[in-house]
Amino acid sequence: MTSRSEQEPSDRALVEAARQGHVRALERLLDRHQARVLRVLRYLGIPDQDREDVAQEVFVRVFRHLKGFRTGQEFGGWLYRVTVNAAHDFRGRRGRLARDEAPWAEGMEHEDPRPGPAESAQGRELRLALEGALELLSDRERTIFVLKEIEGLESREVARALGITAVTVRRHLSRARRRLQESLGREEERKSAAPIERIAPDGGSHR
Amino acid sequence: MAWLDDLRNYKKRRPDGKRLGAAIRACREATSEERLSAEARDAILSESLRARTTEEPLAAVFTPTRRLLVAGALPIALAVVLLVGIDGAVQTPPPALESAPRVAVVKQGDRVFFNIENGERPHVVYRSTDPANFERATGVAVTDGAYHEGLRDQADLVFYRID
Repeated sequence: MTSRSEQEPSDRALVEAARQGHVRALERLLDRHQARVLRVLRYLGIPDQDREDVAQEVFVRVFRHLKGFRTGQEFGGWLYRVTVNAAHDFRGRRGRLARDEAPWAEGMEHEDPRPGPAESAQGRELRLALEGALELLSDRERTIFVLKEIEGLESREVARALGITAVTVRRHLSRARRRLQESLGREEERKSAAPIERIAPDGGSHR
Repeated sequence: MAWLDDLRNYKKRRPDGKRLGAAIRACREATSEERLSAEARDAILSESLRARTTEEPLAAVFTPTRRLLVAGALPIALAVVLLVGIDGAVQTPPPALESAPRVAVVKQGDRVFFNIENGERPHVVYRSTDPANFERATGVAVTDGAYHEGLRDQADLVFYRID
C-alpha cells in the first residue's frame, strides 16, 4: 500500500517546480498550507474580516520571492516567518488606523467566529477564552506561544522561524503559559461565582 | 490560622495547566480545516503570476486551460495561432535550442500575457483579427521571452502569430 506521503511531492519539490513556472505546484503549495496560515493569523489577532486579505498578502509575498528561497531552507519555517511579519504589519497599520478612527473600529476587533459544525459548545467557550487571554500577551510571547503550542513546532523551529535563540523561545513561552493559565483561572473563577450572585434571595451580591 | 486559609486559597487559585491544555486542543481542532474562499485563492494565484510576469519576464508561466475558460467571462474569445518557423532573416539556432518553443498564455482582467520559452532566440509577436493576414509592421520584438498587452478592442476573435 502506498502511503499519502509517498504520493505527495515534498514542499521542496513543489517549490522547485513552482520556481520553474509550474502553476500547478503553486496551487498545491497553497492548498497544503492555507489552513495553517489562516490559523496562525487568527491566533495572532487578525480579525475575521481581514484574515483572507492578510493571508493573500502572505502567499503573494512568498510566491513572488520563490526565486530567493534557499534550497536548504525549510519552506514551512519561511512561510511562518512571512505570516508572522504580515500579521505584525497588519496590527501596526490597524493600530495607527484605530487611533484615527476609533469610533468606527469599535466592536470589529472581537467579532466572534462562527463555530464549526464539529465544535462543541465547551470547546468553543475554551477557544474564545484563550483567544481573549492571548490579547494580554506581548507580541513576542503571543507569537511564540501560537507557533509552539497551537502549531506544535519544536522550540528550535520556532527560534529559526523568528530569528531568535531557543533559550529566548523557552523563556517567553514559560512566561506566556503562566500568564495564560492565570487568566484562564480567573475567567473560571468569575464564571463559577456568577451563579451565586444570580440566585441571591435579597438581590445583593455574595462576595 | 490565617496562613492555612491563605495556603488553601493559594492552592485554589493556583494556575491549572489542564484548562490551558484543553483550550489549546480546542483551538487546534476548531481551525484545522479552514480554507480560503475561491475568490481569494484565485486572486493569490493571478496576483503571483502577474507579479512574476511583469517583474521576472524570463520565468515561464504555465497556466491550466481551465483558467483561460474561466477568463472567458468577457465577451472575447482568444485564439492563439502559433506559426513558428525559421525565418530567413533569423539565424538557425544551435542544436540544443531547436526544440519547439513552449508558449503559455494567461489572460488577467483586460490584459493578456505570453511567456515564450525557447532558449535565447528573439521572437516577434503579431496580432490580427485575420489569421491569413499579419502585417509585418505591427510586429513586436520580444527579446526576453515575455510579451503582454491590453485587449484593445472588442473583437470576437484575435489571432497571434509568434515568429
